Amino acid sequence: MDGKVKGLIKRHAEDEYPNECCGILLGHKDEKTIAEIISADNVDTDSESNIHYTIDPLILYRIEQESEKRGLDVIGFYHSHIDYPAVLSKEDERYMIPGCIYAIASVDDEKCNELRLYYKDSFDEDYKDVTDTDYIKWR
Amino acid sequence: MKIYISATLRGFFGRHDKVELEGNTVRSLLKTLTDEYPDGREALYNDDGKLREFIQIYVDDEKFTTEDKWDEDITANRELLLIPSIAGGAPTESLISDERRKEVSFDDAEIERFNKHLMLREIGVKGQKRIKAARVVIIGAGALGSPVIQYLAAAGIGEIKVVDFDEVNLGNLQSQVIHGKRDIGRPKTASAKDTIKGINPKLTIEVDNIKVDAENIMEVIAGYDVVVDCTDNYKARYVIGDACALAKIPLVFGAIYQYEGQVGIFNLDDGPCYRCQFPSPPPTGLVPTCAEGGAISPLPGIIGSIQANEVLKLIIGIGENLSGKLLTVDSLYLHSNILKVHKNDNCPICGKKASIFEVEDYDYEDFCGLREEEEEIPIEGIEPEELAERIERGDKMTIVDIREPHERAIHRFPDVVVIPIGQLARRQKELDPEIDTIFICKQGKRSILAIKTLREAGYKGPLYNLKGGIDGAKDIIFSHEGAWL
Repeated sequence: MDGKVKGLIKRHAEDEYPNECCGILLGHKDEKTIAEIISADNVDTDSESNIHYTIDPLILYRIEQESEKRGLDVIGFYHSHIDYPAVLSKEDERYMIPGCIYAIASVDDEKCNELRLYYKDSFDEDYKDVTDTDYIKWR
Repeated sequence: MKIYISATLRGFFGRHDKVELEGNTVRSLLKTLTDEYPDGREALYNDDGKLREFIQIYVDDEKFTTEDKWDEDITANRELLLIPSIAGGAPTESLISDERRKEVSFDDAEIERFNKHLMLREIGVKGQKRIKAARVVIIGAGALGSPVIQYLAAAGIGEIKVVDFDEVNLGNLQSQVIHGKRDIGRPKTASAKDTIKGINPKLTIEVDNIKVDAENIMEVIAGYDVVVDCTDNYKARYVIGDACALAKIPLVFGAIYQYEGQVGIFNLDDGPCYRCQFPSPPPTGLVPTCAEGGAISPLPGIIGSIQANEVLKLIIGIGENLSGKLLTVDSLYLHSNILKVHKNDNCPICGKKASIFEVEDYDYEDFCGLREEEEEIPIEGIEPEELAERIERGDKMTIVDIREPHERAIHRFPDVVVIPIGQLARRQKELDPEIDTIFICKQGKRSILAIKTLREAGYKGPLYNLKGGIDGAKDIIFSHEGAWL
């Protein structure tokens, strides 16, 4: 795994182990780049936080406004899967917003060894794995 | 009123971050907004017109997502926010803990043997290790047990226990593909063990040559991760269902009848139990309980394979499973359906006021009124030997065969009257109350029902039950048999 931003996601995922981490991907929509991340609190209750994550909508609202002032767009979101591959769960799929990038980091035994990116264009479409494509560039 | 649209949703609203609209309730504002931006309607609502699960509505910092607040006057407020709730999670948790998974390793032969699993991203090495770490007990090594046992062994389940009390007979071979002709007369457990040893000699296999009952069931299932019910009778199903609910062990249930089958999962993560769905057995006479209903050969293969697939999914922790659901498959017309199974608050085992705390033998005979000794007017039985003598003597009597058409092919009697149970009351005039009437069925239980039915219908003549039915008479040679043997 290379790149500064990828490294940050990886570190966040490992730090939160054995709980799922989550956060927001910021960048430039027009240039299709991810430039930085903002970690968010996983507001799910303790008993669930190893298999679920939720970002408080009002926190997202605040982050959107602050980052726009700095000229950054919300590109998508990331979260980790604990001891489980970086594949979308049914729940991940249900909450997927068309046009946003979803990054999943797989953490196995405190080590993050996989990061995959998913995306879908519209509500009627199936998601695509865009990990190894030039669909999105990392800073 | 100002409407703020989250950056994530702006693509559906002409890329606007804020829209100024007239309206004094959430409902009227949403309507005006989606009339103006039809794409936005798709983003906010699903095909049923309900707000999508991830859409959250706030008025200033108060949550207004639920529809009961949409008609409140909000003119005093500043801003309406449309923001998504960002959520998700790892797929279903595995039944096998990480600690247990990590204790497992593979040799080269195993890597080669299981490579088709290792190739699947959802299974991989971790999933295969969970499979190897798993302990599964299969009750019933018959029609459903055949595919379940063989596929689970082939898939690499580390420890398998097979429980069955029966011996293999010729009639089993039509659908019980785990047994062969050479196994006839052997215990089904022994035959099943040989077959799976042939698939993978490295598996740990335990066999229990017993009939499960209230006494032994807890011991049979103790320490196992999953129980697979492959039995063919209600008594065993209630014993297994109750025990698994009490021991909190997930139960993968399967059943077949003629061309149809069912699969469901009970007791998973506080999900419904067998009794939530089937509080009591079906009413008497609805299904031929004491005789085989029959089934087309591949049906148990289909249903059992689905059971085995569900077991593997639970162990690996992938996909969606049949917990809280009942899959029904009609192989004749190729319909399938998934019915919802709800947890029953009044369930005697897992409900709020549970009344059953240990497994009791479910008195199925008693429940169905089949118990002979509890008859108010005792039903008189006739031994097969006596019947043979009376036929020999040419006694004047009526023999009524109430078996199903396919069962009647097994042993035909001369000059019998064939009347299905359902028609007995209506057709009682065909019987002569001056002479003895003898009822025959497969095991001598449905004939008791027949006699009760006739008595209730007011028939006064003498009625007898062939004790033990045709099965009980199989060692008697009737003179008429030569005619068709």
